[in-house]
Amino acid sequence: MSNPVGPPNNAQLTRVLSGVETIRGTAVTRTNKLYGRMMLRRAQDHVDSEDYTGDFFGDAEPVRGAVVVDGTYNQNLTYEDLSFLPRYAIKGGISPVGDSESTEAFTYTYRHSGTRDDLDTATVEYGAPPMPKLCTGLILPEMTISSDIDDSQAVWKLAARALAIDMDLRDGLTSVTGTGGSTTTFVKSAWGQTIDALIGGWVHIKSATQAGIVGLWREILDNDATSITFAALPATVTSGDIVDVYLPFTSGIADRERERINGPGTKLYLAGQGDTIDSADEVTGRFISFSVTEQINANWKRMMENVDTHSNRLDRGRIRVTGQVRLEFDRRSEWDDWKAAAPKYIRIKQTGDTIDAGAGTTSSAQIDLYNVYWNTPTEDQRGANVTVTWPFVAQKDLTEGAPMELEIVHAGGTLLA
Amino acid sequence: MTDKHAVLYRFTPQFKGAFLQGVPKRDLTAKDVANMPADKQRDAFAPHPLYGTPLYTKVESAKPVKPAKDGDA
Repeated sequence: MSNPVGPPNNAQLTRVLSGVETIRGTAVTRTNKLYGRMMLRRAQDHVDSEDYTGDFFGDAEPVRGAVVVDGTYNQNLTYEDLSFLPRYAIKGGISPVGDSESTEAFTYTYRHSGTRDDLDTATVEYGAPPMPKLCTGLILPEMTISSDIDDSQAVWKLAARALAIDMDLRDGLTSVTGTGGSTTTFVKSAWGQTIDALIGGWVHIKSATQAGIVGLWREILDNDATSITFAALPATVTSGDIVDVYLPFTSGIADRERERINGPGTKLYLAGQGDTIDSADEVTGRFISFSVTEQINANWKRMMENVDTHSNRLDRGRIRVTGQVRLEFDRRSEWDDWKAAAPKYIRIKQTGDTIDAGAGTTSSAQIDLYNVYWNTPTEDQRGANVTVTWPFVAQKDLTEGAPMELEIVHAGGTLLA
Repeated sequence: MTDKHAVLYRFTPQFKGAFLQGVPKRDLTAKDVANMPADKQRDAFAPHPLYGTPLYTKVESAKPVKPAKDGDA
């Protein structure tokens, strides 16, 4: 094989690794792998300087605003992923509850606190090699769960807004001057590297005595305390050559078995507020799609001492829960409820694989919306049929003390990071 | 001469369902290890940062297999 020119830089190789922070904004070791698309942006623009220097030039001394870190996180959901991601959106530090059956099923329940700032925050390492980024204080202040039977990806999907206190490229080893080497090694005496810690990283030769190797990249195949090993270069590394080392991702984080939450089979139940949901409340023959959005309207604050980051103090706003369901428009019950401002109890539920056949347990995902009011509907056409999309707002239910609850069941008993 | 079928690493998942994409969910032989790129080897043999043990544990007296070096540029 001929060696590729440059590092891989392919989006498909992106990894997202996370760890739960103890102190908001203080980086922790990553311990879990996320499977969605994290897209964060660190913004800090230069703006008009408005300098009056006696000429027509408006910008003489640079002026720029403070750092803002925001973005999105999206993924097709699995029961396992939905069981921990809400710790960054709804409530942190929950404890899964086991059912003590021979093959145990664990229930993860999320409900907003009305009075406490109890979110967890994450340190996230993400990106494509050789450019991992590190962000701290990650939360998901807005999270939408949706599914549509007409979507080619007919699964439950998560679309979340992401906010972080800080985001930067991970530190590397820059401008390292070697003391020797060969075509396959770069040596720096008394370098003090951890054995094998650089494997999977990349080395970029910035300057060298042998001009033929300047600018070349190599994946690091091995390292000890004072040297790195890579595929052969066309000429020898010599003392005084200078390299940058791009560090690999945090190592040793295993993948997890996961079960997709399918769209087909999702059930919608409509009942009156305060009723008990039963099978008679299931909406059949009409249910096409749903989405539920919860927002905590939170932002990281900023103080004068925060030079390149946000503060780790959270500005929490009002919690809002909204959504919509699309139905065949073939009966009047929702219309009448809308006109009468009659509150409803909505349940959206999907079940998956059997966990314990004897106990009859399965993995499941369930969204309960306790006090729902329909909003102005939109009629549409699907094929030759008339459909209606009913937006709704879920208000705080005085009995339940919250507008919604998210409950996930699967066989894993650890709240992941 | 190395026995290509001898087990070099035991599959020791740290939790139920742990695995590594693209790596067999079983004990690894020298041939398996030789087929793993450097970054997979690192993830497979490094201790999990939470559990402190690797997904594949080296069998005592087994010699580690380093990934093959590619040809010249």
